[in-house]
Amino acid sequence: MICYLFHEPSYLFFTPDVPELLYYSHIPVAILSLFVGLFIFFNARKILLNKLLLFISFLFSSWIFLNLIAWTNIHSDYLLFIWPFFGVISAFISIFSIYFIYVFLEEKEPSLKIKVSFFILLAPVLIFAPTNLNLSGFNLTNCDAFGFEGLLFKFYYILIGIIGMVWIAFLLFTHYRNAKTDFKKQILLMGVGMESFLFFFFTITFLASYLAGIGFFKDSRMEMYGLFGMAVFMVFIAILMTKFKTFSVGLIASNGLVIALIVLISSQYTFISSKVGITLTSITLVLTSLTGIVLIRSEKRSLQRKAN
Amino acid sequence: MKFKEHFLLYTLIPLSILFVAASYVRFIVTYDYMVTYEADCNPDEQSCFIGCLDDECTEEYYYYNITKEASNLNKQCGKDITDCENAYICLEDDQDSCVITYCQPELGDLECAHYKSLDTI
Repeated sequence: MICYLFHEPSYLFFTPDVPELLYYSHIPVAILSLFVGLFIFFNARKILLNKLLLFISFLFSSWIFLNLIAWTNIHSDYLLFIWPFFGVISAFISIFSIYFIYVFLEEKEPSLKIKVSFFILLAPVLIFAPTNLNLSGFNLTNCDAFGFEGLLFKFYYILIGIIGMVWIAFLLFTHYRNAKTDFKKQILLMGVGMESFLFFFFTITFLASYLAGIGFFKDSRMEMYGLFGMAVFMVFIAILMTKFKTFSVGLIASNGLVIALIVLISSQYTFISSKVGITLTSITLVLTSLTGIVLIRSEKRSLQRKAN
Repeated sequence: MKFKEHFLLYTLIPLSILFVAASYVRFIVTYDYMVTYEADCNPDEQSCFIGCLDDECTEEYYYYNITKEASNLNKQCGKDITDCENAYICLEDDQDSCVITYCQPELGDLECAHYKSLDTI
């Protein structure tokens, strides 16, 4: 069935029927998280912590990609097919965040008991996601399924998010007390980054879809603000990577800053519509990239001189 | 030992494949879900809901809601219901699954256009 009041998107998810901030809140943060995840993974592939960070980045970017399709696609069958993925991916993000923090703190795999408890928490989400307990129908006029979402299922995967946040806070707190000063700083940075990511993501996306479901808001545009928590988390990951070499990546701070600047400037393309705006942003982007290359080269040379 | 080490991989991957397959069959192959949509309503003959054409509600329109099984609707109208008369009435093959909902203040609907009690409709 086609949502008869909306336009068919071009290039998968580009259409005029969306909030102005949609692309700005989605595309840059997805690229940033995927870039950081891939960068860390390809610098030290065998480290479990890096694999887990890549997996979390991949899950988060997939959620964003599917969310963009949900905002813009007009075919009820495709929309309903991707709708159950939101609950599943959210639950996976929460559980694998606990896994990630566990490996960060203990530097080893969790025990089988912990893995089994992860599975017990995730299995009901996967089993019930395609059933009426999660989704029973679709509103062709509004082009969404908010009014047909099962609250029990929704509360369950949000509960997994809360369990994740509490579990992570407990792990961080217990390890913080006995850690050395240097590791204490890393725990603090990782803890604030991860908790703010999970808190913003779960709280705001839940409130947005719940309030849209009961008709308080006409759509779930509020959820866009829930994605910025990931950007905060990535900033903390970058600090851990450059200052503490947490992920065994040999990146110097200036490289990280230059990359962050380029990503931030490029993200402006997602909301600029005027020709003047596009031209000015392109000039700024080229100048910043050139300055960045010069800065990185001179930093490399001075490091080589120091080494000699 | 390998099973213990990769426990989550061995258990979650098959379950995830089943989840994707079940969602695909239910929503894309068999259309096993309900669809609801608005239909044009005449306030002189029916008790209609009032909708707004813009955020400021400078222009209103009247509608009633209709809910049908997606598989039936697909058989009756195909993918696009815009010019399909069968989409806006309940047919025999819809059986009990087709429901038309008019505005009813006694059930909590706030604003109805030219409301008459259901007995008089």
